[in-house]
Amino acid sequence: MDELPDFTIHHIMIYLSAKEVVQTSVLSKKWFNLYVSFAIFDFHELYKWFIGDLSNKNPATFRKNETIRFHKRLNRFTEFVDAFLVRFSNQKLCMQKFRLLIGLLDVEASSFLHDKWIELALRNGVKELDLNVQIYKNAMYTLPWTIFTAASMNALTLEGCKLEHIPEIIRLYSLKCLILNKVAINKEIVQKLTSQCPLLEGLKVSSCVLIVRITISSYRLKKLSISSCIKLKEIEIDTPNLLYFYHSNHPILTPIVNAPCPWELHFKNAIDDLGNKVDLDAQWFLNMKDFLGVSNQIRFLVMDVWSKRVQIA
Amino acid sequence: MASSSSSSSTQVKKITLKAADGKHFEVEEPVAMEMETVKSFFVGNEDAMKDMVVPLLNVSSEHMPAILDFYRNHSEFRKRTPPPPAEEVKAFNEAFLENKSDEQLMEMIMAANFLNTKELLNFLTEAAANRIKNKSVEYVRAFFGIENDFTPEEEARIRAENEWAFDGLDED
Repeated sequence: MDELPDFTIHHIMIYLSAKEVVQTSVLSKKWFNLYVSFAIFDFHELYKWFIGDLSNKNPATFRKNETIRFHKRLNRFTEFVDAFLVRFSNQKLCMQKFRLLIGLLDVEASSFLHDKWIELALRNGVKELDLNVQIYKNAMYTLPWTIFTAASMNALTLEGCKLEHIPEIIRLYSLKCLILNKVAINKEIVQKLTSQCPLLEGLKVSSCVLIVRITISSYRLKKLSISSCIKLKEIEIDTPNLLYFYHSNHPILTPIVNAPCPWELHFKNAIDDLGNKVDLDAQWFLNMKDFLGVSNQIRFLVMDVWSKRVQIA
Repeated sequence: MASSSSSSSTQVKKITLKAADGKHFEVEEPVAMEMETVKSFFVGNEDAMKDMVVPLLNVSSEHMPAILDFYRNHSEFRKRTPPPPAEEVKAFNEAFLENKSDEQLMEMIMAANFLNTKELLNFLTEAAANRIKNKSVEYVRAFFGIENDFTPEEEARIRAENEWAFDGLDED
């Protein structure tokens, strides 16, 4: 029987787990080369596999032997990812997808390595980048500014890291979809990203707990979702071509939103600095009333609230 | 086969495909056009050449009926409103694969690759992946008809480098 064409072998690899893809490296020389040139890196799944039973635990609660075990496994994972990326990038191939989940105990000590991985992915023209950095203390990994220069990237998903040092001109010319979850960002970055990415159609901002103001102005944007940004005080959105707007937060006063499309609103309690729900008060209801007055296309309204004082009939 | 209930008398245009061994297959135009290789044959010559026989040099006639069956059913699934229940599609797909040997599956992947039909290629490569999941290296080699051209030393070195992927989790 003839051997399958290379393209179809890579196609089969799409349906294998990352570990199973690694296993194919030993089949033959041809397969080894195919394995090295496979352009989809799902280190997200591999991390869970390497870290095993510790992956769902918070290292703050580790016993001593667990900490040692965690470090040992993390080192093996790190070595593997590093070797893999270096080998791939030596071939000067285009990277389709890079997905990384990693938990860090010491953010500062390991950030140079993550910077290097991101650089390698960017240099190989990565199309989809998905980074999830689990944080256990308050220290956060800061992404290198070069991430704003990834001209061929069309999807970016970030979780648990910090975006700062935004350059004057950003070059995310192909970016269509941006998801920011638990990312430390500010108004300027969101504003710049939405106004300077010429193809951006989808934006999701969730659990970005530091952001206080969101200002978005885009003719391109089609889908916008803002949720669980607990410090949010102001939003100013001008998106005349939006097709869908989702907002899930405490109601803020006088939102300015130009989005002539269906809305889905979930109103929740405000959260105080200690992370506790704040009981509903008159202001909350006034804010909500105010918010509801902004659009006549509210498709869904959900109130997911808790109160000791107010009876909602 | 699929032409069971063509209610109206509107004539569906047919296209003739010629398999590698010379056998002819008459196929409804929309079904034939699912295959990029066939489609590209007609690009720019919309009407004039529809009577032509399209030669498919890399597809054996053994697999043509199954490939056409796949597309007739799947294009019907796609057209139906409301969409068919997931179980129905799943049942068809499972039945489709049930009596296919590993070798037939490989040959059909090659055919789907040649015909440049995304849906079928996705479906078949996923099926191949499922058949090699959790299987030993030796099994996978036999499955794909791979000849191991590594020296024992080379193979041992690669295994050692990625030892973790071949064993279970380390004992710590």
